Amino acid sequence: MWLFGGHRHLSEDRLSDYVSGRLSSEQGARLERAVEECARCREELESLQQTRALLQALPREPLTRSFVFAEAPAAAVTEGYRPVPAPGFRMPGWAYAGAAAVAGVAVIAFVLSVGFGTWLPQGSENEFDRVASTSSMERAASEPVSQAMPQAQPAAPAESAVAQSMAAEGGSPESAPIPLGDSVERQEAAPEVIVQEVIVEVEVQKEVQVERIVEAETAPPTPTAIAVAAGAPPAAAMAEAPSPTAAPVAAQEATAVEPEREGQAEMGARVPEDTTGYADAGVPAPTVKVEVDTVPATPAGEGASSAGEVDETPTPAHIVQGGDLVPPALAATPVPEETIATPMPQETPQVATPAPTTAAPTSTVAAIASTETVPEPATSDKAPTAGEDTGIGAASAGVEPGEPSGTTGQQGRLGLAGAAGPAGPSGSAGPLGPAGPAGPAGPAGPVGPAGPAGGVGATGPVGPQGNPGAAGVESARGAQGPQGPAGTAGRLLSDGLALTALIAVAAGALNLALTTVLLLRLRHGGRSKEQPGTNQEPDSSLLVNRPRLEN
Amino acid sequence: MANTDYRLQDLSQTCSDHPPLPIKDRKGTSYCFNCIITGFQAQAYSVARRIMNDQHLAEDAVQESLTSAYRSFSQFRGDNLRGWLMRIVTNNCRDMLRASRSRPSIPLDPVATDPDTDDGAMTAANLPSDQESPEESAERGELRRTIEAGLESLAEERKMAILLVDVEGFSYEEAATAMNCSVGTIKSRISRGRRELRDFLRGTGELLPSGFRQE
Repeated sequence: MWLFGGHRHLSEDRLSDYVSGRLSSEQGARLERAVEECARCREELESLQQTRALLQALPREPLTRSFVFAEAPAAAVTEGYRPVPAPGFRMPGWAYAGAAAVAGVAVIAFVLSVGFGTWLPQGSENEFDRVASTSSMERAASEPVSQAMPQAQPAAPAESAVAQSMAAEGGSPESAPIPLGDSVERQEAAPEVIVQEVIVEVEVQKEVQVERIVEAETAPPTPTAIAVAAGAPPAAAMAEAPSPTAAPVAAQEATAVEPEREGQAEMGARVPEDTTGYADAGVPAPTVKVEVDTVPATPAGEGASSAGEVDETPTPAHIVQGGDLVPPALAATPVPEETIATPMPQETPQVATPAPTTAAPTSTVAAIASTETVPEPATSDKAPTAGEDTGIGAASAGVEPGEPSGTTGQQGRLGLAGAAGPAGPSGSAGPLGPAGPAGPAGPAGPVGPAGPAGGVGATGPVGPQGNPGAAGVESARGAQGPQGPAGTAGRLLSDGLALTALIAVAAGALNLALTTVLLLRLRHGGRSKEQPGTNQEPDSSLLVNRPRLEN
Repeated sequence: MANTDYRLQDLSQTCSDHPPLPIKDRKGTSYCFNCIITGFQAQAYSVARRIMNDQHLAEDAVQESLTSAYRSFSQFRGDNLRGWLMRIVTNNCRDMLRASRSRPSIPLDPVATDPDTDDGAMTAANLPSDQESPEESAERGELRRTIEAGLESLAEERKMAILLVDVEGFSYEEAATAMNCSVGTIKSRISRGRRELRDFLRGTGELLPSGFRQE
């Protein structure tokens, strides 16, 4: 007990055990010796012993009566009792939790699908669009390119400035940007349907080659010229040319000749500076004379396939003006003046960027169509003035097939343009066209030059809003409508997500219903197992044996 | 009090002072429940009385506890009968105490109090002994009230442990069974309860008379 010169007192627990007699004899003797040596411990022990003695001395409370049973007490009335659930359906906590979890999953799936663009506005750009455009560009780049001459290439309707397609002043708001294609077969009103069909038909109709470039009016199309002509706005040509099957000839040429340009073209959709760069660099005018090889004269309204091609396989836009094929983008704006016979209205600074890419198809097709009917060369500078240019006239005629502006073939293509109906909204912007040129705001520039034309109208709505960067894209998208190649891929993916969300919601609802039914059945079964009367009323035989107390 | 004291060797055997009430435990051993009551009721009532601090409540608690014990005797495993029964009693007392605290009531017919006694009941404990003078009897009564006040000052668990072990003479094991805890917990509660009670008695100036000392 003595440690390090100090006394370690006995703990009260040990003293208490000693008082209670729970220590062994040896332990007790040791404790007694320690207590004798320490007065404090001894005092503690005595106090505890006195306290216990007092407690033991407490008199027991006398019984006031006897509790002996005269008879056996009745059996518990609750024996066999099963609580009856309250009226109305009661779900256990886990059922609520499960239902909440299922509902939460369904809601999350739904929200995710929405977030990925299922119901995003057309003007907004989502990841699917970008991914789709990128992949399409890669596919287009990997497409075998015939260097020699733009022959027998499935000149899929390239995407060019919408302004060109909407060039016709008569373009009504309902008129869609004319997705003119080489093989204009039919014209469908529903843009979504067209987009769906385009993918298939584009591959099927590889052999349908409508146009062939016979000769270049200017000097033999140098690689540079071709490149410029094809992808003059590289962004326009390449950026959204996803169709691997019908790769734009001009685009391919441009790619083959000038790989560096191709790279620019890939970036062109997002880097409008490229076009401007061309203009600054003084690229030779990409005026090329184009001759349509075969023009299937299809009735208006059968241009779905071509429209699809426009969406899926954006070829470098060649705008034929009076028989000359001119890159639409260049014709629209950023075209270097040297390359163009007649200088374009220089709202060019506004041009550049993705806008031309989306809007391109219509103008291109329109240009091609005009090529057939109007072989006489036309300078690209006239393109902006859509009304004057034959091709533009065709485009406008496309909006209104009934107009005599085009030949039969033209009408067919114009029919395609009609199929591009979704672009109608942009057409509605046509009236705002004047704002387009005013939109030095930026990328929308290529469209801008077409200001007076309906195509400009497409950009109009954006331009006035002073959103230079997005103007081009917005207007282009508006003109192109849902038929954009990237939009197609994104829409397909988003549709898949939407379907998934719907399935999740349906599964959740089914799960909840099954859980409810199961619980109802269990509840019903529990009641059926009870014997009537046993859970509410005690056994009558036991009532006789109620306990009686003996006093 | 061994469990064998209450066992019935023959169902036809008759108890002297009460009707036989055969009953079987979980192992099938037969008992006379009235014999169990006879040997246990005084302790049960005393504990209940000190816990409840009310005669009628204590009676009700004991009556309810015994009835419950009879109904659930088939669950008794055959060992430590007193601890098993006392657990039922203490649990009932706790439940009733909580119920009375949540719903305090005032008796409609209060019992007339006798100035000489605490509760007016002339019990054996209050009866003056022939061998002690009135002064000694008064002193004894005062000491009892002081000790009971000290018990009341303890925490419920410690008070119950002190009552079972020191007042009623339960072993630690029986107390542990009755209170549904370990023996170590009982030891701790007993030690702390005694120390607190000692401090209380010292604080009240109540000296332990030599006559109450355990020699």
